[in-house]
Formats: sequence, C-alpha cells, structure tokens
Amino acid sequence: MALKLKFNSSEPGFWVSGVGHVLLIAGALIGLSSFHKLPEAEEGIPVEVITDNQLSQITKGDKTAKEVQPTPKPRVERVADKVEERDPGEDKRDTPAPPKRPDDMKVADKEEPVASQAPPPTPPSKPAEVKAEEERKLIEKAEAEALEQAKAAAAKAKAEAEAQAKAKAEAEAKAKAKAEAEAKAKADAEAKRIADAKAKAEAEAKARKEAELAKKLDLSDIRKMLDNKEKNQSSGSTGAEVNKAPSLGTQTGTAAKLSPSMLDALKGDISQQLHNCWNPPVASQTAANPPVATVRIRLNQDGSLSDDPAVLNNNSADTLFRSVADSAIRAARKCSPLKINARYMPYYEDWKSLVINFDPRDV
Amino acid sequence: MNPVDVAQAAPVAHDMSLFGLFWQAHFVVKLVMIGLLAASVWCWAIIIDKTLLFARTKRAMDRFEDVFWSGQSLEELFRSLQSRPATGLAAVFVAAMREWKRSFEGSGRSFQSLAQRIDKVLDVTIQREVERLDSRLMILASIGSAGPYIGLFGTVVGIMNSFTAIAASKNTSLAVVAPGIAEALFATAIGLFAAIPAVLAYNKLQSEVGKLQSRLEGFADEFSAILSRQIDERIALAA
Repeated sequence: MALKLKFNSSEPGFWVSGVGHVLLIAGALIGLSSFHKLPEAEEGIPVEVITDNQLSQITKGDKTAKEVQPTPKPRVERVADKVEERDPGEDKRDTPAPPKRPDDMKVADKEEPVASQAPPPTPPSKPAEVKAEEERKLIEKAEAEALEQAKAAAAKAKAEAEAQAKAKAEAEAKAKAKAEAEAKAKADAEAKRIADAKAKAEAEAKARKEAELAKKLDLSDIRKMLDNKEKNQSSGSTGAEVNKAPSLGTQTGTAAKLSPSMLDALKGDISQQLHNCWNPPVASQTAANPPVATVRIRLNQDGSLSDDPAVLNNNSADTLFRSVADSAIRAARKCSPLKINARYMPYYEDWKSLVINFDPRDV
Repeated sequence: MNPVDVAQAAPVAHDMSLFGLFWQAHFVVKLVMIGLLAASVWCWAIIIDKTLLFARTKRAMDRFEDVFWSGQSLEELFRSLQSRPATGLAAVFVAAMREWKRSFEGSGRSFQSLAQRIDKVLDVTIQREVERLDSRLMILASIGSAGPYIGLFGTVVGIMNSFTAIAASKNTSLAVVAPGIAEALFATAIGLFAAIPAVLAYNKLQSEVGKLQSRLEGFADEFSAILSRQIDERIALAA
C-alpha cells in the first residue's frame, strides 16, 4: 500500500502515529536515560564474632556436636590405649585425608629455583670436598707446568749459552721469566683458593638450610600423599572409653565450663549476699588491720548449704580472728539458701564449692 | 581468575541508556529494531485511520437511516445522494436505485428479473463497502503475529553474537555477559511493543467491521424487500 505522505485530514493516522512515536522515543530517551543500579553485590563471608569470654569457654569436644555436655568429652568410637582423634566414621580401615603443607614448606618451595641454580645438585658437602681436591690438583698442575717451563727454559738457556756468546744475558732473562711464571702461578692459585672458600661456605649454608627443611618435612606425610588415591576413610577415633555423644567444642579446647569472668561475677554476687547477712564483731570493724576469714562453703543446686562451712585459714595470733571466723560461719548458715542466678545453673559443677573471703572492712 | 582483578582489568563502560542499547547492538539486531519501530508506526497509523473511518461510517449510517425512515420519497433521496460519491448505506441505496431507475428508463421495461438484479447489485455493493472497511486490517494481524517472532530473531542473533564475544574474551563474569543480553532483549521488547497494540486493535476493529457489515446486510435486505414489493405492484398494474 502506498502511504500518503501528504497530510490528509480524513486519514491523519500516519502523521499522528509518527509524531506519537517520535515523542515516545524522545520521552524514553530522557526519562529512561539511566537505569538504576542494582545494589553492589559483595560476596558474603560468614563471620562469627566471639568474645573473649566465649573464647575462654571453648571446651574439649567435637566441632560438629549439638550441645555442650555437662562434662565436656571428645568423641570416642573405639576403645584403645592410644588416644587418636580422627574424623567420625565406622569404616574398616583408615585412609587419611591429604596432609596440609605447613606454611614454611611453601616458603621452601619458593626458594627451590635458587637452589637448583646452584651448580652441584648432589649433596653439598661432597661437592665441596671434590672441589677442594680439584683445586689442589689444579694448583699442583699449575706448579708443575711452571716448573717444566722453568726447566725447559733452563735447558734452553744452557744449550744456548753453550751455543752462543750472549748466553748469559739470555739465561738471566729466562731465569727472570721463570720467576715470573712461578709468581703468576702462585697468585692464580691464591685467587682460586679464595673463590673456592667462598663457594664452599655458600654450599655449606645451602646444605644447612636444606637439612633444616628436610628436618621439618614429615616423611609420613609423603607416604600419606602417595597412598592418597582413595577417598578419605576413617575407622573412628579411639580413646579410653567409648563416648558416642561428644560435647560441643574443639579438639584443643581445655576451658573450664564456667568462664573466669562469670565465675568472678557469681563469686561477687554470693559474697555480697553473705556480707549482707554478716555481723562482724564490733572490735574488728574498728581495728586498723582486722583479720580476714577464708571460708569454704559447699552448695546444693538450690543455693542451700550441702555441708557445714569451714574456715580454711588460721590466724590464731590475732585475738580477733576467732570471733571473726565464727561470725563468718554464722553468716554463711544464716544466708542459706543463697540466691543463685538461673544462668549459672548449667555450671553447677563449677560452683558447688566456693571459697569466700570475709573481710570486716568490706561491711 | 579473581573476579576483582577482572573487574579492574576490563572496565568496559557500557552505555545502558536506550540509545546506547540500540547503538551498541549488532547490525542485524539494529535492522530488526528499526523494522519493528517502523511496523509500530505503521500499525498505529492504521489503527488511528480505521478508528476514525469506522466512527465516521457509523455516524453516516445513523444519519442515513434517520432520513430513510423519515418518510421522504425515495426518488428525492436518490436525487440528493446521486450527485456526490456515497459510502456505507447511502452507497447501497444509490446502487439499488440506479439499477431500478435503469430498468424503468429504458425503452423496453425489463421487470422480469429486476428483483434478482437488484439483489446482485446490493451484494456487490456491500462486498465493496466491507472491503473498503476491511482493507489494511490484515497488516495489523500480520504485525501482531509476526512482531514477536521478528523481535525474537533479533534477540537470538544478538545473544549469539554476545556469546561468541564471550567465548572470544574467555570471561564469563556476569558483568561481561549482561550488556550483550540486555541489548538483544531490547529487540524482543520492541517486537512486543509493536505486536501487542496490533493484536488488540485487530480484534477490536475486526468485530467493528462485522457489526457494520451485518448492518449493511440488514438494510440491504429491507430495501430489497421494499423494492420487490414495488416491482410486484408495477407488474400487477401493467398486467
């Protein structure tokens, strides 16, 4: 069909549509000139923040275990005299995972090209010896050559002296030449000896380094690496007694259950309660340096005393001590049951026996 | 390769504006885009023209029917319409009346098959009118059905192109892949932009044509009934 390019009022479609599209495109160019950016996608690294407190609470156990057991113990799947910590598993035999290279091994790897540049790849002490011997031979050769030259010169000089009239002068010249040759040979030998000593020292240093690296390298690691064509298998860890429910923790963790700071807080709390119950003798309150009673109290889970409190120190020299100690024990009995915050309940083992100082100055 | 290194090594600044998308596209994709844009212009031209034409035709039909059924004599109406080119119902009426007149004005009065002749003339006129209304609607149908495919063709060519570029640059980071694919998809977007109004308008206009056609046919039937009654009366008078 032929588009009518002249404007026709009864069929204005082409012009209206054309103008409309031009306007639309212009609008889109202005309005959609820039697409909004998606937020910068940064790869997330899972980071867990643990406090000093938590770090000090890491107990002995297994990383994959569900929860911390009352008595933190590592997982043990078989009973054996030797304690071995391995991946959990019930396989028939052990196929260890490829051992990791320690960091200093990598460093040694990097320096390898330098080592390979060194002329003797054979054990370094031997080449040094060989070199020394070679050196000696070279010196001897040089000396022998010098001697031969000298001899030949002497013979020639004699012959010439006999043959010609100016023999003496020439003989003198020859002798001089001989002396010179000798000196030169000696100087050469000296230079060579110095260079050799240097090379030897270098070789020795290298050998020492290599020996050091070799010491670090565990040969069993190499064997493991060579054997390591199969999937990692484990027959399970061993220990004195089987423990199928390991505690949550790490193989190296050794912390007590209650962290030191929590223990301090609990002790402070209990000591505060006891001091509130305590009526120290009036004399001790006014004394300049009153005696301090150290009392061991044993507690039940509900905070009540499980045993009579006992005074641990004995300062019979001080006349006030007896009364202070007695009053402390009375206070401990009076305060029973002590209020223990619920958050310390899981750690009963850690606070079932506490040592509290009763200091009259604190009241 | 570390993605950070790649990002630093190849700071390919891609212009992601609409014009940038068009300009950086492959030659074939550009052609497709231009073609689709032209198709969109054309299809909207047709839509506007047809909408106006149908509105005008409908108004003309209403007016004609008012006049026709107002009791005005057919002879007078014919005389007033004869002078100018008629469309729609008027065209049907004028064609039938012309045939009628011709049959009476000749020397030999040919009544015998006048009714049949008038029917034929009516049919032909209706067909011509419908054709006039219907013309160019097929273009809309074509754009509506082919537009997405043409756009898809552009997209496939664009994506092929960008994938070969990726293979050459040996870098599969999304930042390298994305601009090419965005360019390619732009072709499909334009295809859909042209096709969707075309399909909707085609369906709408087609149903309008159907309505107008049935209206024409209805009028033609009525008019032919009137004329055949007249013919029968004349035959009876003549006999």
